[in-house]
Amino acid sequence: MTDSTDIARTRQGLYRFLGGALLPPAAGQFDMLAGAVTVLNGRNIDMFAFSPDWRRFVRHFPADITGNSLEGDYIRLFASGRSGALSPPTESYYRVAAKGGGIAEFVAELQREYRSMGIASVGLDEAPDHISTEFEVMAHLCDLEASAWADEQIRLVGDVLDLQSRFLRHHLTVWIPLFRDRVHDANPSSFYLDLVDTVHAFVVHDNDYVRLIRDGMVE
Amino acid sequence: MSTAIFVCADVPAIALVGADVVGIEGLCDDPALLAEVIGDADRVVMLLHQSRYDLAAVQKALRSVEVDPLGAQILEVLSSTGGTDLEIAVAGLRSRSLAFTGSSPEHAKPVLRGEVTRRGLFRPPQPVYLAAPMVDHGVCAAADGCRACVDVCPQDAYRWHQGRIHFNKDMCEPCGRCVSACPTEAISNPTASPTMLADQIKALVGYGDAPVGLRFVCSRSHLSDALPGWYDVAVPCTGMLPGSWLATALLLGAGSVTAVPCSSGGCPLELDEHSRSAIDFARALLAAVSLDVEAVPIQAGGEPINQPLARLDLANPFTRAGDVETMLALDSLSDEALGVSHPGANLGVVAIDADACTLCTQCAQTCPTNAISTEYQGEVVSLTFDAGACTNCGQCTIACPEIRRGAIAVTGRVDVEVVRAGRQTLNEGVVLVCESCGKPIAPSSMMDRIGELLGDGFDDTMSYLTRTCMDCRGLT
Repeated sequence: MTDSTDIARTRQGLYRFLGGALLPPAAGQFDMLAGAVTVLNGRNIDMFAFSPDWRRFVRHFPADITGNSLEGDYIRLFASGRSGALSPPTESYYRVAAKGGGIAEFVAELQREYRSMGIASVGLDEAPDHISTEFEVMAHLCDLEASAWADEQIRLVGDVLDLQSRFLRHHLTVWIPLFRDRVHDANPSSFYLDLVDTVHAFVVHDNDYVRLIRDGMVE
Repeated sequence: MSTAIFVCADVPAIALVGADVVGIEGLCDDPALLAEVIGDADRVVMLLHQSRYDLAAVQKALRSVEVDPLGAQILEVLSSTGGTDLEIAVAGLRSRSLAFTGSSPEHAKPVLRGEVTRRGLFRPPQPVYLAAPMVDHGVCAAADGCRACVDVCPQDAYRWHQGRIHFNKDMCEPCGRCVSACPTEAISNPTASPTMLADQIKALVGYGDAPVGLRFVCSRSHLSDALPGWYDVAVPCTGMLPGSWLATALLLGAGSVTAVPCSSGGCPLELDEHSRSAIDFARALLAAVSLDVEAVPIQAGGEPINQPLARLDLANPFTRAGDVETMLALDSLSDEALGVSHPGANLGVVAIDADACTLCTQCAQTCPTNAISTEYQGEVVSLTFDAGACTNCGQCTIACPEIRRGAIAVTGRVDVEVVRAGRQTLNEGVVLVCESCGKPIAPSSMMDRIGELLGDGFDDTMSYLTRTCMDCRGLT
C-alpha cells in the first residue's frame, strides 16, 4: 500500500471488517472475517498509529473464535438482556442520553443525512444508527474516494473527504468513545474488549488522518 | 516490562552496566531489522545517526513489534559523541522509557513531513506521529469557568464553550504549555510525564560520582553540540517549563540546570521568552536563599558544573504538589525565608481589596484548585485563601465582576511563610437574611454595590430586596 487509492481501499476494508465483527455472531461469519484479516494484514497497516490495537485484536483469528463461543457475550453486551443491552452499539443510545430528544427523531435525522450524501440504508438488517450501518456508510465513502483517486478526480476526492470528515466529526468520534467506555465497564470477553479498543483507535485515527489529507489538498 | 537498547552499528560502541546493548548493522537505514532481535521488550532506546534515519519508518517498525513509538527514546548520536557521557545518557533514557505508561489513540497526531504538494498526495509519505496533549474532562475545571489552557496556548488550539474545553488537535503544535499551565493537571502528554522526567534525572545524577549538568531541550530540536558532563532532558518545548522545574532538578541532585530553546532560527512557536523567564525565575529562587545562581546558568557549557545542592527524594517532582515541595525544600537549605515575586512564578498570592470586593464569591467558584474558598459561619461569609494551592493561573481575576475597581489581584509569588500559614481569611462580611423566612439573601456588601449602581430613586426597591429573599419574592 503506497498510494492514496490503496489507502482508501484499506480504510474501506477496515470499516467493513470492524462493522462486520460487531454484527450478531452467525454461521460462517468468523471464517469470512478470518479471511479478511489475512488480506488486511498484507496492507501495510503498521504505518498507522492504530496498528498495535489492530494486531492485538486479530490475534483472536482464526483459531479460537466461533460464533457459538461469542453468542452469549454478544447478546449480553449488544443485543438485549433483562434490563436491556449493557452497551448498545447504536449511536442514538448515547446521543439521546446526552442531549435529550427521542430516538426516532434522532434516527430520522440521521437518515436525512444519509440521503443528503446520496445513501439510503435499505436492505440492511441493522438500524440506521447501528455501528455496522454507520461503518458501512464510511466504507461506501472510502470506496468513492478510492475511485476518485484512481480517476485522478481531485475535486471529487476533496468533496468525499469532506463528507467523511463531517460524518466522523459529528457522529463516530462523538459516540464511539462513550461506547468503548461502556463496553469496558460491562466486563466483556477479551474478543469484544480488543475489538472495541480497535474500533475506537481506528475511528480516532481516521478522523485525524482524513483531515490531514483534506487539509493537504488546499493549495 | 523491559527496555531493549538498540544501537546502529555505525555509531560509537558503548557498554552499559546492567543493560544489554544490541548493535544492528544498518539500523538507521532499515529500522525493521529490530524485529529480529526485540524479544519480549516492550520499550526501546535507540541510538541513531542524526541525519540518516526516517522517523516514520522507525515508528512503523516499532508498531510492527507492538512497541508504542511515542514511548521510544531516540538518541541522535553525532560522530563526536561517545564514551562515558553516552553511557550515562543512555542510562537516563532507559529509566525514562521504563516510566512510560502508554499513550491513548487521542494522543497520536499524524503529520506529513516535508513539503507535500497536492499531486504528491496521490502517493503520500508515511505519516509521522507526534504526541498531542489530551484533556481528562473528568478532572478538568472548565465547568467552573477555568480556561487556563485557552489562555496559554500559542496556537489557539483550545476553546471554552458552555463549561467544556474543546481541543482542536489539528491546530496543536505540541509545546506542552497547556500541560504545565493546567491548574488541575487534567492535561497530559505521555511522552514527558512527571515520572518519566524524574526517573530520567535520577538515573543521570545517580550514575556516577561526578556532578552532572542537565539541559532541558525541545524534543523537536536537533542539537548539534554535545557538551562534556551535560545531559539532555527532552520536553515538548522548553517554553513549557515553569522555573520551579529547574529548581526541582537541582534538588534531585543535578549540579547545574538550564533550558535550551530551539537551536536554529529561534523557537517556531515564539516561546523563547518563556524559556528565559523560567531560567530567570529559577535564578531568583536561588538568590533569595543565598545559593549560587550559576547553578542555573543562562547557557549550558563553558561554566564548570556545580556540586549538587542536594540529592533529595522528592515525593511528586514536576507536579503541582511537587512545586510546593520544591519551594519548601529550597527554603530548608537556607536560614532565610524564601520569598520571591516573579511574573513567571507558578505559585501565587491573592490579595483582596475589601472596599471593592462585594463578596460575590465568583472568584472562589472559579478557582480550579480551591485555593480561594468560601466559608459560611452563621450570618458571616468569608473568602479564604491557601497559598499552597494557588497556581497563579489568574482565573479569579477573570471571573471577578469588580476587577476594574481592583477587588482582586494575584501576584506570581513564592512565599513559604504564607504557604506555611495555611488557609487565611481574605475578606469577610455579613450576609443579609430574609425577614420573612430567615434564609440568607446575599452579602450585605453585594447589596450595597447593587444599590450604588442603581443610584438614586431605587430606595424602596433596595429596601425590599435587602429584606426579602428570592423565595419570598416568588422568584423561585
